[in-house]
Amino acid sequence: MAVVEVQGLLKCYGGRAVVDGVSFEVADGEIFGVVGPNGAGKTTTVECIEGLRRPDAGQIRVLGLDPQRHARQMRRQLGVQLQASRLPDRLKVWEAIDLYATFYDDPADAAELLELLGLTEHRNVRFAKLSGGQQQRLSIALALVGRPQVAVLDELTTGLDPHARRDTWTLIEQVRDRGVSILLVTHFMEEAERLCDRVAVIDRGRIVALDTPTGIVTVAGGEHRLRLVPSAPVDRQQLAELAEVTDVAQRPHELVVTGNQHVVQAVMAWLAHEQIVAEKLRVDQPNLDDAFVALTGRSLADADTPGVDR
Amino acid sequence: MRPLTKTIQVEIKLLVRDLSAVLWVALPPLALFGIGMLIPGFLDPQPDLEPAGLRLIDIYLPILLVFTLTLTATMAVPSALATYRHQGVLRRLRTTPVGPAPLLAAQLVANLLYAAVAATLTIVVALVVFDVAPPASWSASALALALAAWTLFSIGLIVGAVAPSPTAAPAIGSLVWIPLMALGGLWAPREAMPTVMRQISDLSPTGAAVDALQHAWFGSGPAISSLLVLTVSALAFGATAAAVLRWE
Repeated sequence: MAVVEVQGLLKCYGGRAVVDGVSFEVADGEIFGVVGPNGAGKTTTVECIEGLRRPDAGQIRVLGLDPQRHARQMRRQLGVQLQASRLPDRLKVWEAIDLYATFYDDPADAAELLELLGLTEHRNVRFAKLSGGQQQRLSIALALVGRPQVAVLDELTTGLDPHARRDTWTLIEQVRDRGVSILLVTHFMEEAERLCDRVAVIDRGRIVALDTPTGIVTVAGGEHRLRLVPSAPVDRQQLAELAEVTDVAQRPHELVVTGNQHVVQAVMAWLAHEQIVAEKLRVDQPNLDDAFVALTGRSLADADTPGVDR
Repeated sequence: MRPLTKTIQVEIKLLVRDLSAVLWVALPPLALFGIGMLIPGFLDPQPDLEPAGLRLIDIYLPILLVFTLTLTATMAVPSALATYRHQGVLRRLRTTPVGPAPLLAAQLVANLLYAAVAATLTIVVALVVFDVAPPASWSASALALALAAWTLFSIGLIVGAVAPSPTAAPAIGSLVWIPLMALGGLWAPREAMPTVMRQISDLSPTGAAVDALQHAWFGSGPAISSLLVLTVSALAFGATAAAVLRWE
């Protein structure tokens, strides 16, 4: 069953389509990622889902409800964490949760929520005094306080240090394990790869790929790379002639072989046949970043539209 | 607890935690105390004031009460609104079942209470230190203050809607309250104004508020035309505020 359905979503600003015919479904219980560079239309898409923006065309259903026509009903069941949304500086952690709890009919237990998000010892701290990671955790807590069936989390690890980011990932998995379906917006491919069951890659307002992270990487291709130190000299010419191999390079301390997705098996078989042992073997597989380059012809950093965050 | 009551409670807490707000509350009573004590002649009866024998300190009480409302409405309300909008607080509330309306209402209630505290302190100083008479008509005084509050807080909401950023809000607020209070007689009371300015003052919300309150407080009959001006301004500015209000 789909908890979020988006069909042919179109949203224009100044005659330009920022979201151009986006369709996807989020299944019950999954973590669904919307990934892409800044300015690709990710936030506009989820803001239409949250009912903050009115689509120019297309249909959206959240738990069967129209975000515009059944806004109030939908908001009871949809938890939201907005990109760059703050709380009043002098509001304390427990007060924020206490306040938001009054907005819902059957709110979550505040103490339990604080515990889940690791905020118990910060409950009397004012918002402005929290670290970036703590502020993000509080904003996730507020997204969960209404016991939503679906949560939309927009760029929740932007601005966090790597450690806080990993903590947040673990937390998101715990939230999903409690039965909340999650729609995650991110421009970190690593985050999408680590967390998401399925991913929609958006570029310039359109979905360019929609699959599991592994599926996207496999279909998009991209280079697999082996680094190894052979136990005996290798005939590089002969190695390069293997169908799966595209390049062989001798570096000062290692041999680097690149090729398609089957290159690892092919090279290992060939080495075994030549009775050569590969020492210090390392395999670099393509990731979503590489897949994005393969799909769009641009790197993620180049694709960022400066100053635009939609 | 219901969302509105809880939000009001939270907004009052936040206001009390703001040290500068706590200090500002002492400004109107201190101003009254200062002018009464320091400016010569303020405590002498003036035969040409209406009703005869009123002192300057007496007519400054209504002026300072309207000043209290004006300052809160045009400085505190727009700042809070612009800040909440800028920080995405209002936007975040739009994604909840209750929306941002309770926060807006709570802001107004908290600031009205704040103004009420400052006004009460000012009245206490007037009555206790300077022996100003209590209101001749409590209900007419309350009506004048209520209409003035409605008008001025609507103006504050308009400033908050127009202000492009939290830093612009107090700047625009100052551009609004300074002329408003000039017309209200803060620097020169209405009785001392040149004819043209006095005529403009009669039609301004603050001038009308001071006039209506002065009549109600000192018992010189109802100020019909000023109450009419106040009612029209309350309706006009209230409707404008509702029309221009924006959450983002």
